[in-house]
Amino acid sequence: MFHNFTFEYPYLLLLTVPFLLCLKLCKPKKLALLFPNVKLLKKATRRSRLTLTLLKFFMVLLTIIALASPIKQDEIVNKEDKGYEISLILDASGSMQQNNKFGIVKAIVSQFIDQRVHDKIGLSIFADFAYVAIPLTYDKKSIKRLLSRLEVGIAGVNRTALYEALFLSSNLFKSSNAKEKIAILLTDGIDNTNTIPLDVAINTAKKYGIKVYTIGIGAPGDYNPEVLQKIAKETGGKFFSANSVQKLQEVYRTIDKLEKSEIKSNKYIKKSYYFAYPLTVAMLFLLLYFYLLNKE
Amino acid sequence: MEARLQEILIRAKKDVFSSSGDTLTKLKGDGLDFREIKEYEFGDDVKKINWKATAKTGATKVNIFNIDRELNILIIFLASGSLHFGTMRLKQEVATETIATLAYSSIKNNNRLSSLIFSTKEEKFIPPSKQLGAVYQISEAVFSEDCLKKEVDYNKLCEYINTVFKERSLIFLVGDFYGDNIDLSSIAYKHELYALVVRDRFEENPQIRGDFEFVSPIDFSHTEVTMNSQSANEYAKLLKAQDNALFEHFSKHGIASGKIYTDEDVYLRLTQIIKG
Repeated sequence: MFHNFTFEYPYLLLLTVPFLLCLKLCKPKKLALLFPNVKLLKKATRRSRLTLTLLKFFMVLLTIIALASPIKQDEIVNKEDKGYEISLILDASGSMQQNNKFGIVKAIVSQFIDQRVHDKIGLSIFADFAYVAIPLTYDKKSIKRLLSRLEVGIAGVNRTALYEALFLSSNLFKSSNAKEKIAILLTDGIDNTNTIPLDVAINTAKKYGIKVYTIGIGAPGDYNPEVLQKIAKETGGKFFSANSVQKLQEVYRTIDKLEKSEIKSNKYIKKSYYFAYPLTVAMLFLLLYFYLLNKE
Repeated sequence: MEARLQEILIRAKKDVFSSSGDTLTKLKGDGLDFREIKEYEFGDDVKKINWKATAKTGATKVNIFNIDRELNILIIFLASGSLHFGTMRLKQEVATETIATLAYSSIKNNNRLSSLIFSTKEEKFIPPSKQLGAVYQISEAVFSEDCLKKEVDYNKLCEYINTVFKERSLIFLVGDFYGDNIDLSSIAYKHELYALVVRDRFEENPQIRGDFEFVSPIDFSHTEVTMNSQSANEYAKLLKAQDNALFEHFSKHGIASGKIYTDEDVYLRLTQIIKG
């Protein structure tokens, strides 16, 4: 419970030194009285004097601690409106089942999600039709859980609604005010649904300022490199092709590097202030001190 | 100061000399000048039974005294800094009056009077005298004694008395008797002892409230104390326990004792104490 505890102004703790010195040296001038049996009086009041001294000491000590402001520095959290927003678009058509491509993609994407600690991530799937599996969120756990449950055929097996997926996931950014918007489109096929024309899809992406990285996997004939190149080029992204696991990993790593978020400026330290507690106790001690002092 | 002393002396003198016949030494009964121990006979005063001798021999013994009534009287002023205190009158002043009264009485009854001021050592000794001047001498010495920063060492006092006063005497000890274990047993049997405890009512029950810095008149050390009813009562309780132990010690060793408060009539209290 006490780890991460620190003081905001630790040097103020040094105030205890002048306090202790003053306790010894600068005593207030009180009414001095010659009294015959001071020895016995000392004995009679030893306990109450000790109580008062301790109360005074702890009162001042706690006040100084409160003044030094004990804080708990919690893990770094970035400001929501300034990070990256990444939409992952995955092909889940029937062809992805060959050679366990989909499983490999899932594993690599999962790693990628782990690396983008400070970003909002969304996930879209397409095959016969496209749908948004999870909208943009910081909740990495949910994304990964959902990702692990995705199967080929979840959106049909026969066709590839590539443009629709791009269009749909572009719309995810509609209400976003993030500085950097990125979509990573992964496919192993060619659009054959004709629900959304390519121009519309690209324009939508451009309208929201989305950089689209396109990845074609499998043999060069499986997907249409021209189309993917076009999408990437027009939106300011980049096209990659991968025909092996290592290559695909490389691709995601490259994207990760290219879009290294300069999140530092957006980081802030969550400070929880705890000065109220010592201060409260000090105030209670103060009340008790004056009560004991003025007690009949 | 001189005038104050004169006033004390006049009052003491008036008290002593205007009371007819009723003298302090008479109160003691048949003198103190011990002659011998003899077997108890029918008709002897039971008060004169010497219990120590009776216990040793198994037969009842009584003390025989000389009829000679000239006594050795020794008045000792225990100069402690704590006497420099008083709400009505200074304790030292009351002690002076007590000593003056005793001194006048002894002179009036033609006894040999010597006096001593003692703290941790002999401060002043006035040798035996039957002259009235001795009264003034001792009263003046006690009145003007600077008690502050002095303390009484009762063991040294006993030692001193045992070495200096070989003759059996009537000893009056005047002081405030503060201390944890005052032991007078080593002089209590050889001499006739009177312990006159001069106190102020306030010092026995300091009912004041607030923050004070109490200064000890013995070493001038300062102690910060917050006085409230609790601390005052605690102090009164502790002092009472200490005093009870003190008076128990006195009665155990046959020392006549009593308290004289600063607001009381000294002569009256003295008569009460000595009559028992």
